[in-house]
Formats: sequence, structure tokens, C-alpha cells
Amino acid sequence: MAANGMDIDNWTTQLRKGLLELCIVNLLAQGQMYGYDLVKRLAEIRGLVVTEGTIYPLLSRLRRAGLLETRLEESSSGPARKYYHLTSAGRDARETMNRYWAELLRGVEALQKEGEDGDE
Amino acid sequence: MSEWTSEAEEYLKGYLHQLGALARHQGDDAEEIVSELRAHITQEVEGDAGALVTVEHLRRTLAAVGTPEEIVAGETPVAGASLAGASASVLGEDTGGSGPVLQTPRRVVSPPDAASSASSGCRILAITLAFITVGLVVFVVGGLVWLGCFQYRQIQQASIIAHEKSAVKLLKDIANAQREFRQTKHDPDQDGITDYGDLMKLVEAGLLPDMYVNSTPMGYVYSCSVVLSSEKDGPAFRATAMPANPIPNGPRIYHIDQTGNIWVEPSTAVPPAAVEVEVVQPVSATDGVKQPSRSPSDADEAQYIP
Repeated sequence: MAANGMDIDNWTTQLRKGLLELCIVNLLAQGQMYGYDLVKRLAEIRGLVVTEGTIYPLLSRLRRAGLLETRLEESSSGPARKYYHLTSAGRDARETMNRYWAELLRGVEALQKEGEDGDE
Repeated sequence: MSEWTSEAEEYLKGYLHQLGALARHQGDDAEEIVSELRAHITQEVEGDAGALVTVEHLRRTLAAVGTPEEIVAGETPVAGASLAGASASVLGEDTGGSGPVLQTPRRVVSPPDAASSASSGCRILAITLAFITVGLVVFVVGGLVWLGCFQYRQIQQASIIAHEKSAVKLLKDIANAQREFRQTKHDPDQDGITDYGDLMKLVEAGLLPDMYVNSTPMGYVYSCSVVLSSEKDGPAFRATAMPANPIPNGPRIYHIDQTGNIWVEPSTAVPPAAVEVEVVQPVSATDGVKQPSRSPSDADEAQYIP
């Protein structure tokens, strides 16, 4: 999708990239979660997850960065499941990310409002 | 648990293999990602297919999960572009060509393992070349050093030979001058038998150039001792050529006496054959010269060169 020479798909993809990490840490702030369930929860947010498989490399990188930890738990319906949960560093990162996101959102919304006022 | 067709199993195996290769190339934890995706896909497709999982079921699931390139590239197309050199087409290779092939476009490039092998090969080649280069340098430098040492020894030897030949020649000149000097009827002890003179007298008589007494021709200092006819074993003389600056393995000390024989000191390491010494014509007994009964008394310490 292109709008006046701008690649909108590329823009939305880059926007999702950072938001996915923000969403993951916020989702796990509620408690530990199985990878499949985590992906399905994120996929419920419209426009956030285009391809479900991309979540797993992100989870792996966050774990290697020390923001997440995993725990294997036996499952009655199949092989052992890997559960993800936040580390203390992950919780700190979540707070910072949320603050930043809130400020960013306020600024963006203000600009949007100004734009809408200008349209009128 | 559902049952899988062999085609579906092969399809998934190829898919995950390709995903793992790309993830490794990206620097991700390939085993973890593959394991998690296997669990995800299995749960998803078995929920969709029911009792039997076929390739069609799997394709539907994978359409939502994404291609290996999309997954490893993440949500950043730019990163995906950087994978252009890494998206190996692994599927089909492992299945011996009989397995299913993903319907997603793939870039065919060298797989990471091949890149690793090539890198290792390059390292071995570089190390080999380095060894060869170092070996050649050592060989050339060593050869030059050896040649330099050899040349230096040759030059040094030639220089020594030149100096010793000069000394021998000048000693023979002294012997010839002494023979002429006796023709002047020089008889300081007035016993009726003419005697030899020292170097100063030979120079004063014009029989030798003054370089013998006031310089060091070719690095030698010359001297001459005289035994008068009235003394034991007289008349006799012994001229000596001694290096002005004695150095180890350098020029040797030479002597000549009234017989014309030349001796060389044996104290140096230079082989005596280095100088081919000619014997001057001994002074004739008819000249009234008393011949010594033997070689110089210190002959025991010197090497006689006939």
C-alpha cells in the first residue's frame, strides 16, 4: 500500500515492531503465560500481529536481553510447555517503556487534534 | 494428539529446518525459536485438522504463522532485506527432493553452513599463505645473511692473504738488501768478517726505502736484529714482519734470516697454506758469510716454511 510515494506498509510494520515489545511486557505483567496463548492474545489486537511466528524470535531476544525468563511445565495434552514471565529488569523496562509511550501518545494525539482543527 | 501424514511431517520438518538456518544466521537462538514454533504450529494445526493432519492443513496454519523469512526478519522489512544473503532454500534438499516445497517465494543463496565452511577454508588458506610467506622471507633473509657472511669471510681472507704476501715480499727485499749491504765491507767488530746491518743502516745505505722504519707498509711493522761475526753463531740477522694491529685470525708474524728461509708464527688459526711462501736464494757461503749451524733458536715456537 502506497500513499503519494510513501510506503504505508513499511511504516506500519516499523510501528508494530516497537509496539509488539511494549505489548509483550505488558501482557506478561499480568502473570506468566504460555507462548501459544501469548501469541493468540496479541493477535486479538487488530493490526498488531500480521504473522504470528514473528512473536517467537521477539520472545527469544527479550529473554536473552534479561527481560524475560522461561519455565517448562508438564502438560497433560502434549509435550512440556514453556511459560514466559517478566524478570525484575523486565518490570523496570516495562515502566520506562510505558512512560515513554504515554508521553509520545499525548504528543501525537495533540498533533492529531491540531490537524483536525486545521481541517475544519 | 492427531496423526500426521508423512508429507505433512516432511513439510513441517523442511519448514523448521529453513527457519532454524535463518535464525542461526541472524544470531538468534535457533533451537529455542524452532522449538517454540513447532509447539505453536502443532497446537494450531491439530486444533484445525482434527484426527489427521495433512499438508493442506499445515499450509493454512503456516499462512498465519508466516514464512521463515518473515518470522526471522520480524516486523521490520528493512531487516528482512538484510537477510537477502541468508534465506537459504533448505526445503526439498533434506527430503531428497521427494518432500513438499513451500509455496512461498524464497531467495536461493548459499546456506549459512556453506558460508561457515567457506570462511573456515579461507582461514586455512590464509594461514597456509602466511606460513609460505614467512618461510620464503626466512629463506631469503637467511640466504642473504649466509651469503653476506660468506662474502665477508672471503673478503677478509683475501685481505689477509694480500697483507701476508706483501710482508713476505718485503722480508725477501730485506734479505736481498742485507746481501748487498755486506758488499760494503761493513765490519763494526773489525774481525775481518763483514757483518749485516739493522734496518736503519740499510735505509741509510740506500738499499731499502725509509718506509721500513717510519711507516707500516700493508699493516706490518718491520724490525731486524743482527748477530755480529765475532759473536756466537754470527754473522747473522733475523728480520721480522709483525702486524701493527694484531687481531684474532688476522695476519701472522713472519721472519726471515740470512739463509733466506722464512718462518711464520703458528699462533693464529689461519692455515699456513693461505700464503705460498717462496724461499729466497740463500746467501752464498762464498761471500764469506758464516752460515748458522741451525735455524733460529726459537724455531721450536715457529713453523718453518721451506
